[in-house]
Amino acid sequence: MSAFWARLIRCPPARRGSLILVIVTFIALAAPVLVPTDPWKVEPEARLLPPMSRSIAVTGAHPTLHVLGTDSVGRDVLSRLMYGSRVSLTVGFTAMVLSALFGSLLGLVSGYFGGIVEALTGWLIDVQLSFPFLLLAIFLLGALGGGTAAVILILALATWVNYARIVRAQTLSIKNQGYVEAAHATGAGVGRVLFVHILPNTLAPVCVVASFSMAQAILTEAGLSFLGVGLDPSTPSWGTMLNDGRDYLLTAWWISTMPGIAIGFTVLGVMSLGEGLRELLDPRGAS
Amino acid sequence: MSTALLEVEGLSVTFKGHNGPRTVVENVSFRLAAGEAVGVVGESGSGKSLSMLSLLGLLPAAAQARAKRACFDGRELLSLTPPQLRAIRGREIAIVFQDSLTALNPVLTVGRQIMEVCQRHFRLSRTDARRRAEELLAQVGIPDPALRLQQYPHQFSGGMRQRVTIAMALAGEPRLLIADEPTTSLDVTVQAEIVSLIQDLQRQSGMSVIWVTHDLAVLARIAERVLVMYAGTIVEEAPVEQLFAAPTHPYTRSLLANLQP
Repeated sequence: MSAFWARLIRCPPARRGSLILVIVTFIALAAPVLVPTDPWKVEPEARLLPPMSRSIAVTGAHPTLHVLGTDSVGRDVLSRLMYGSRVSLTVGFTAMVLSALFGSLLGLVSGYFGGIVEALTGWLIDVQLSFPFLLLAIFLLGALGGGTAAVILILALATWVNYARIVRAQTLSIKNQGYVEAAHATGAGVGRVLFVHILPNTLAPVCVVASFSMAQAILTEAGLSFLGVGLDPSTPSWGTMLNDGRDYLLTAWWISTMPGIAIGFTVLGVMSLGEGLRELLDPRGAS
Repeated sequence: MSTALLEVEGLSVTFKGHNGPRTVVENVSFRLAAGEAVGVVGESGSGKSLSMLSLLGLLPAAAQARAKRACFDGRELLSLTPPQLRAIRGREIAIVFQDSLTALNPVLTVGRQIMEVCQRHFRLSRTDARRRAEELLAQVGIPDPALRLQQYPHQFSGGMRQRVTIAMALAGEPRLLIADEPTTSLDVTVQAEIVSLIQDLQRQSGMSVIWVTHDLAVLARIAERVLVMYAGTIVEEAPVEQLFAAPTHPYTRSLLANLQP
């Protein structure tokens, strides 16, 4: 395992990606300590302040420095950004892991066994693909009553198909490889063949899909919040902030630009790490 | 030919096809004594490999095997349950495949793949399995086994990879080794090395070996008896000297005629 970490550090894209994610994760974890002001505190007098300005609204108190400015109701953008990373990372990461697990498992099983299992999975995939995602999201979030867990569930539901299809296609070609036959010939059972011999060979494309879909999950969460079916608007998340700032793009550009940069930075980290992992998982790539 | 280790009688393999079932192996019968080396020759598609795979239940899904008797050490191979069969595969009957490049999993280290067999059949701990894998690699003549264990298949040459697959086959300490054209994809000098390696291993362990090949020259060196297969049936069976001296079947004669002097 330590050898794996050593290789991870030596691989440039993986190193870059991990560094970015470590920084973002650290900020998310340490947000309560790091924030300059209360991210929920509304200051109507200090609304739409540009970056690096001080609010002097509250009489008698020390003026607060707003490094990244304030939003339309006078909340500190930097503080909200820091707290927002918690929601965005949790949602993006959990949704990605859930859908990757579910989708890969289904793809693996359907590709390997074929027959009725494959027919059922294919049917499930078709249903999922033919159902408009937004409609499903609005319906389910309405029924489940919103909240972080519900949003995660919806996002996982939206992306598992990608994994299922890729893993299924890979499994179909891998199950006829010599080493799978050889594994059978040494007395390996079905579970061992599936999880030791086939699954690891499908991981490289899964990594790429995972990095894309985590980025997509962060953005979709933003979209859902915008529609009013996602998270509570007062919850600081990068998505809700992005949408908050839309009306002020010309007059107060920082409100949506800052969360945009944060999303971009995080997505860059995820993608780099995905790319690095793909390289690392191919033994021919790292001598 | 005292007690038979493997006794096959009336083995046939049938494929379900679009135009009805098609029998590709028909009425194959042979006996194999413990410690004996038997060669199976025949052209591509004559059913050599299929007959061997059918004994271990490794046929493709569309194929079905039937036999009057397929008795390995008192057990009827074709009527075993899947778990019983898995306990025999790799442990009592092991196979070395033709293409060593595809027979090894590219994303697992060589050590892991050998250890897996040891752990599966002998319930060894990781450390014991590692030690055993190292021994096995040394046994098949791979230098620096401790280092080589941690490497991936692509870091091995063709001949070395075939040695690894042989080590994997030996890991279960089988009583019967089926060598399914193990030298076909190798160049001639390496072929000779692999052949003598398997011969040595056979002598050390006393296992039986079935050589599936289409190279009569190889069989002349290693087999005691030869079965000649043609179009899914055994057309000739003879001790190797007799086969070379007086081939009876026309196919055998043409095989011998085409042998390089």
